[in-house]
Amino acid sequence: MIELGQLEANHEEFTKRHTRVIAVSVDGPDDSKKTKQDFPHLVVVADSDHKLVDAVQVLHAGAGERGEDVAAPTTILVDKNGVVRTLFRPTSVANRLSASEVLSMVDSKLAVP
Amino acid sequence: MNDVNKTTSRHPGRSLLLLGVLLAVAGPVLMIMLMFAAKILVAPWYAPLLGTLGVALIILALLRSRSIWRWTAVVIFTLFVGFQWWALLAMRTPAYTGPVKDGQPFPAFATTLADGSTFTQDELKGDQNTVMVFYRGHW
Repeated sequence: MIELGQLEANHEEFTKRHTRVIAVSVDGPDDSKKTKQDFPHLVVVADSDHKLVDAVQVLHAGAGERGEDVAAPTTILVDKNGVVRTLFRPTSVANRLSASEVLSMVDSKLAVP
Repeated sequence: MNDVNKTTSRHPGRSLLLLGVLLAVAGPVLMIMLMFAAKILVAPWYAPLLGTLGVALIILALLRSRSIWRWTAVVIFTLFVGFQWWALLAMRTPAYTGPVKDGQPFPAFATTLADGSTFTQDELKGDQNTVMVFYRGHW
């Protein structure tokens, strides 16, 4: 959740870049509502039926704290036309992009030509 | 001066032991500080390395002077550092092999937002770019 907190704290920087942040997990509706309350400027997806994680194939089977399936940490940049511009998958679940690194990626990959 | 020599000879390798213990616990402490104080999220590869060096020093201290306490320290900190290595390896994520590719349309999907409304790939198109962050969820 540190990652989402950093993204939330930088929401104005994302807005300046005409970019929204969508946070996706396989949490159910209740947990997702709590996440939305904690990070009100993020769009929170409650993908408990795995429709999005299966479409993107980012499910990390059995990798949860109690052996449950979770989404593998992954960051995808999509432009205004719905076209993928880059995908980042850390080599460890402990690694995350900082908000400033995400903003740099937005600047380099999604900048208007 | 004589008192110092007496203390050193009474507890040979004590400084090695203390340094070893310090190194063995330094990694997890550093990881907690980075994560919760500095909010830096990086794999703690340094923790088991420091810990292994610490255990080596504890073993050297044991070789200098054998006691039940030093044997106990070797066993406890070897297990502790072994756990750190295991945790580091368990944190690895599989390489991405899915259908998302640079320059290609985002795959079709229909899922649900936290407020219960439907969200599909069509809503990725519009006047905003999107950063989509998949996270492990509530812990």
